[in-house]
Amino acid sequence: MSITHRFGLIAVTATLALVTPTGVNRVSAIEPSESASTASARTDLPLVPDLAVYPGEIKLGSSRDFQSFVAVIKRDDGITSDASDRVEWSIADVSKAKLDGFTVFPVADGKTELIGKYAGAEVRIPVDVSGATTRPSISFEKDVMPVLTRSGCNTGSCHGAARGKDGFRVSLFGFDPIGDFHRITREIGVRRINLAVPEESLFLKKAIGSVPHTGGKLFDVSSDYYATVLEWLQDGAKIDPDNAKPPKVASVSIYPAQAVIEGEGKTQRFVAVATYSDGTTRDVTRLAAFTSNNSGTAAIDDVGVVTAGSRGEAFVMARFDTHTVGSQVLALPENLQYTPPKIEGSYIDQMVALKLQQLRIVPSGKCSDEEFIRRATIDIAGKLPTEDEFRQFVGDAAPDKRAELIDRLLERKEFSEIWAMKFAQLLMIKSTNDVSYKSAFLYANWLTDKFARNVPIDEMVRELLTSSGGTFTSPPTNFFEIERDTLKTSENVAQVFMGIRTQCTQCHNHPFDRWTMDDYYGFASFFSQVGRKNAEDYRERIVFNQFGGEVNHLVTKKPVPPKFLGGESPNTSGKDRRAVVADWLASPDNPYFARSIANRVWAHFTGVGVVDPVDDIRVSNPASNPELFDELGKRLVEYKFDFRQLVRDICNSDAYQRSTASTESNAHDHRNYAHAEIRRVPAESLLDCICQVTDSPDKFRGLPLGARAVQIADGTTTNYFLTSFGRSPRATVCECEATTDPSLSQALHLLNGDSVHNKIAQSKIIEKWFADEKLPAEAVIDRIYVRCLSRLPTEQERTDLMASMADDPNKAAALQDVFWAVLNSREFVFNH
Amino acid sequence: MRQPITLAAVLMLTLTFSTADASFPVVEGIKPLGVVRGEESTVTLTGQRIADASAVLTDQPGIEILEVKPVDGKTVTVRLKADAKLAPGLYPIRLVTKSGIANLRLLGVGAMPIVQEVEPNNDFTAPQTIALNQTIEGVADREDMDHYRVELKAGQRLNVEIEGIRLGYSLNSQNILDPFIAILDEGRFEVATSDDSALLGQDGACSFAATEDGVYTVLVRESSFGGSPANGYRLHVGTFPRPVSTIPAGGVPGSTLNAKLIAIDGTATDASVQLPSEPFEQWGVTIENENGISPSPNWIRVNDLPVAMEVEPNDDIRKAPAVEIPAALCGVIEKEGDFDCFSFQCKQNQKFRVQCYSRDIVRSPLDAVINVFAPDFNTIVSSDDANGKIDPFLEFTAPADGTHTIRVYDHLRGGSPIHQYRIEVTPADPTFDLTLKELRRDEASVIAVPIGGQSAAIVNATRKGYNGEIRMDVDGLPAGVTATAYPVPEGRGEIPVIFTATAEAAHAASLLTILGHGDEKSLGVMGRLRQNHKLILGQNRRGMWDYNTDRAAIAVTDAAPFKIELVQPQTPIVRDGSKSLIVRVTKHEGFDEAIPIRALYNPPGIGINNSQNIEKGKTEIEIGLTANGGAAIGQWPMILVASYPTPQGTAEISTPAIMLDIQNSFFKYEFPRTAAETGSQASIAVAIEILREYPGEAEVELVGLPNGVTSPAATQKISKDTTSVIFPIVVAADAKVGKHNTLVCIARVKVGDETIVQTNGTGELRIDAPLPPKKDAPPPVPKPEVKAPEQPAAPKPLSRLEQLRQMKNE
Repeated sequence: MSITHRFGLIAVTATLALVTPTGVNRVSAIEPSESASTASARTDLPLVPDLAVYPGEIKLGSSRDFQSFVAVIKRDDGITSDASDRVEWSIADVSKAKLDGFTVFPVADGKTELIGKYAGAEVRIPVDVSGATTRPSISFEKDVMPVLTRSGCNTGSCHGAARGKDGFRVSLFGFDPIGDFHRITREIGVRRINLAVPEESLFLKKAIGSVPHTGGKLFDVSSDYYATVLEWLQDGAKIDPDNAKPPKVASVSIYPAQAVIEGEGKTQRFVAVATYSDGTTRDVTRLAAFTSNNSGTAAIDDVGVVTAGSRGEAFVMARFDTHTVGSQVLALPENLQYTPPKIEGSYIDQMVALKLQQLRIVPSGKCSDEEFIRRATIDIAGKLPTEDEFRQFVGDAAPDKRAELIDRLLERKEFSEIWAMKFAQLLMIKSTNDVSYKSAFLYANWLTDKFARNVPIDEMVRELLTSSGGTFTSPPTNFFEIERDTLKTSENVAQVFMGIRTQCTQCHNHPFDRWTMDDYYGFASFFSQVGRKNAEDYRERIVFNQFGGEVNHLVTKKPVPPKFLGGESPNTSGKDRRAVVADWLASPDNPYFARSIANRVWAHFTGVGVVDPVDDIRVSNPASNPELFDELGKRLVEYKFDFRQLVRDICNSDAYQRSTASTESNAHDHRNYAHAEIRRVPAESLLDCICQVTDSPDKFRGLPLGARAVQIADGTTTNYFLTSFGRSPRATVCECEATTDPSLSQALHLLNGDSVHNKIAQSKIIEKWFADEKLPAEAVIDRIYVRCLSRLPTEQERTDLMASMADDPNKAAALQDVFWAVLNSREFVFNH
Repeated sequence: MRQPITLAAVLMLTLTFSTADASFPVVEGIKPLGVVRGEESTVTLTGQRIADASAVLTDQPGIEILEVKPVDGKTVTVRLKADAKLAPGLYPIRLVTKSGIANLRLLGVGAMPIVQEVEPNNDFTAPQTIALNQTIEGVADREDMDHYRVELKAGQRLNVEIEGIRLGYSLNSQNILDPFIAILDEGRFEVATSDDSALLGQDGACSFAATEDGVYTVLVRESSFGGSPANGYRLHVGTFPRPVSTIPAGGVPGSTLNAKLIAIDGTATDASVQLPSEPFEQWGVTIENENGISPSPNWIRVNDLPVAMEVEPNDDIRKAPAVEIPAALCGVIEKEGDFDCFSFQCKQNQKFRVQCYSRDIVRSPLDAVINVFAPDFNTIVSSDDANGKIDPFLEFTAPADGTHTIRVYDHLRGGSPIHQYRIEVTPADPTFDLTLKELRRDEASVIAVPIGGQSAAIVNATRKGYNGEIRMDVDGLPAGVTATAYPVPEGRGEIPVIFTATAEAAHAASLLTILGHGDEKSLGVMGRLRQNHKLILGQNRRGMWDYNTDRAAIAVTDAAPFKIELVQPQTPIVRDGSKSLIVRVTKHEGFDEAIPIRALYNPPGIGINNSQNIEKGKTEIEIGLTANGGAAIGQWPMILVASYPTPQGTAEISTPAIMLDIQNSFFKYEFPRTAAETGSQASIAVAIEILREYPGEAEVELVGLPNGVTSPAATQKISKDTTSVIFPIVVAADAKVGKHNTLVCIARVKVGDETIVQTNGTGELRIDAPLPPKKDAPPPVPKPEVKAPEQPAAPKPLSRLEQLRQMKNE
């Protein structure tokens, strides 16, 4: 148990690349036995506890420096508790450092250790003191800016707003320190600062609330924040000179990396440590901004103390400088009775089961064959199983018939059409004033052809991003025609192919992720050399690499050399920059691409991404199951980006095949695949299903009769049904464009609109069965049920329906009504 | 200066509206779309206003029109025979009626038998079976798929070419056929497809060599499932040769061109072609062999430029093989990344014109880019796309004596054995192009001259390095028709040409040419008429398919029911002046409709009231002209157009031309800023400068006085010594207070019966209410003495400032 848990912990730290994996110092005196896995009561505490102290090492670099620490005890069942006040603390050499509460202060240069002892366990943390006698002057960028950020001065609702607030503007979250310095010290002459009497500076008086301030009082005169700013003013309010800039923040860590808190109201202290580019560290627990993505489960206050709430999972984050890091917090009720099921099955099932075990959730059982064939056929092929397929599958006694069905469905062209449509939505394929219908049609056909020929997705993306030539002769060039703006193009690439939203960083550093404006303009720079010109046919355009053109940084107004997101700055001279970025993007080593695509595939089949929304992967929106998130990406790379194989893995997993019926322990959970989610069938597939069961195809503009809704090339093709059922308008690359939210117009359209009633009437399918084939009414009802719901009616339903028809002289019309009713049932429009 | 601008804008609007009035014959449909050469065929033309069809004009020799027979108001049958030796391709025909000439249409001429499409053939499994070497006439309807099945033996090559957009006519972006063709095997796999092609534009051609005996299906559809019942096509299916490239693409007249032909399947053969003795901008080469004849020609250029073929290696601009210029530099960008360079000697300040033909005419897939390098290998000038086309065009002046270099490559750095080019390097001699201005938007002008009447066209000249007068000769007129071509004045770009048919002229039609040359000093500067016929226009009137001719159509049409005359005025119109022209008609017995009159053409700076009719019962009207301050001084031909109803719609007749003499203004005014109080009297002194001597008597009238202001002497005579005119004014007590920028002087110079009018504005008159008495001032003491109003006006009118001083002193 604890082995697997440790594996889980390490994987968590690996995903959050900015949490230093070495920051854990753990002592475990005995190897826990396997039998301990069922332990749940406190009485089972081991003799020597599993005690860990964070951070794993302490460096104190000046007389100003200090470092707080925290101790965590972990039980064999994974429950952790804050043991700081239970542990007996001491400093090995008190001439070097001293303790005050849970904080270490420097005394003299040298090395020593912080020693924590508790119930037989002992942890020693190395303490390295240097520069104990030096007191560096206050740096604007390193010391004052963090105070502004911490105090909230530069948030979007305050002075960080685009137009500032009450006449004073600073850069949002401090992306432009030099500009902020000028605005604070120079903008209105001597008004904001008073170097003669620094305490009288408006800048300070506003913050302590001694003069009216819309933002209220931000800190006390006695606070360290006040002291920092005051000292800076007393020193003459200087900017850091260009040749002596303070070191940049290289990383930020938050400790502990995971907390499993048992019992509502229990607390856990967290410590945030920043590491600078010169190797020094700094305790930023009082400077970082702490947030929780689920404060009902784990609320965090502004000094990093988490209080457990209702049962569930949360992610607490610390933001300092441009870095955001997080830790997982699980809150469990006290004395929970839980017997973990055996962990077995495929890698997916093992990983899902591990997570469920962490949460003490018991998964639902498998769905029935009837449910399975309907669910898999809709998900994989976007259609309903035919009566023959249904009968054959249900009657099949083979143990691996589900796997065989999945294989059969994957071979159908409908599978590739669904994915071509999904990507057509993400790539916003539609005709506009600039993109002719023919261009959109050829582009959509190109995409469909790629999926139909099972071209690996990395290859397709490479071809798309590097495409040159006419929008007719080389349809993927339409990617650069549908969106001509360089910045938007780079945003779209990041969002569609890596699930990263960089939009914020066009104007300021990302407040909840690691991306900075430098990253943004560096990435946009890859798309700055796309040239466009007219072709012979006015409807066509030629897209080409023009070997020139730059993107200017918003703040510096200077070109930014191309730089991969979170990567290096490659040499692009003489090359098509798009080819360089495409190679990087679609490379198996790219940490973002495969995971993002795999996550989209996963979300299609389970209704919720491991990271959800699937196109908003960021530090502050962590994966519900980081191991699974990574593994799906790895598998996709292993399968050489053939995602049919990945679909096979997913659909064969128990996680996919679970029943939608929830259990007591999993009813509240929708992120961990303990039961199947009930999902509205997407608009296009729903229309196709209605056409299929009524034998009455729709007609779409620009496609031959019989073409299905998923084949619609042009996103602007008008169709009332699709619009009201939430098809993607293809206006942005957001996955959220296609919705399955219910609306009154949907219900009314199914009840009164032409889609259901007219199709039933036109198809004459009931007349054929009833009048031509002379089927008895019961058999017709059975066929309707099998066709639409992939199941036979229950005895009760059959009896009720027959009874309702008994007085109707026109049996055919009555059966049509039954058909209509079934199509209007919730069971029909949902995939369950 | 606001008023003249507004006036001009109004005139332009009325001009636009009135041009839409006239109606004319239109040929909308042709059935069949093509004929077989050597056979007599009957083609049915459908359209509007063609009930009086009488003839068909053909631009190219080889099609004999045997009979033109109107069937009903909207249908005409034409019996014709294409010469048995006529090269397959598209041939222009223009239907002539007794009231006009219809739009130019292209008729397909082929060598293979024609079969008609038989619907239903939408299903791959139920296609229409056809034999090889046939031309199928079909229709690509909306979301229609047409399947044709042929049998092939192993090794047999099937070539398919479609004429779709090339046969169409649509100026409203509707019903445009952009065909897609494919060859499918028995398993329905596409073994060859073609949507758009460099050679044929939106039309395509594809080719497939059967690997085994079997049946194959040719599929035709609109490329994005558009289509309409009007979208006819000719599909050529057979073993015929289909070259896609003739290298080099041109030669010298009268020579034998030894060319390399590259077929659609990539095979190359050598062929020799006898070139015509005359230069041709575009000359079709048709290939015939034992397997058939190509269904449409490959185009080359025939002119006097010697051909200089590229010699590899020539990728490096510093080691470019030398050629002599002027020349046609021909070659092929053989492979991806290939560059072709040519070097030649130039003297400093020599000016050259470089036109590349790769897509235009030659129809190669090459999207050429050209750089010209100076002797020091610095780029002088580059060109990618020019003049709205994909082909580069540039002019350069040699910066120094020495070796200059031209480099050509593909814009996308592509290349293939058919990426060929022909770069014509010629001295940048002055020249010009002539064309007829489109009098109806997007439609090439035709000239319909009523028997015993006149018709006018406007010639537009596009000058290239020549700014002098252009004189023109018109040739190829029908019997009884004469043309008066006024010279295009120096620096100007358009001039009318008037055609006159005698009363004895018979209904006839012909194609005319216009040749132009420079003035005495520039007789060697020449240019000729070219006419562009738009056949397919897409959205926003962007061209998709057109046809160029070097002759315009003219026909003698039914006589108008009146004679028309524009009376030559005896006096000039001056700048800032106005004048009335008199149009006089002699109506024939039984005709008394209103006759709308409009201007065909305004000389520069002249505005015309364009919405006037000679009303029923009237025979004359005065048409007002105005000249703005910048009107072009000189003698300008002036022509008005009258329209009248006929059974075929509205017809038009031009007046004979008069010469309008535009002269400079006589007078220049300086308006003072005058102020007056209500209930007082004042005077407005306008300074006048007489710019030049004027004939006869002159007077100046002040108009535009605001309400409540009158002048007892608004009109005053002037003499050549006058320097100012003083208009006394009387301001009523209830006159409108405020600034009035409305004062205008109209000068009239009487010469015999006519008056030369010059109108200038605008002066300002400010009307003030008298000041109320000051509060602390003593009650107004009535002035002991009031000056008698009868007192003669002050000898010198006072300026506003002087008036104020005077008031202060009072």
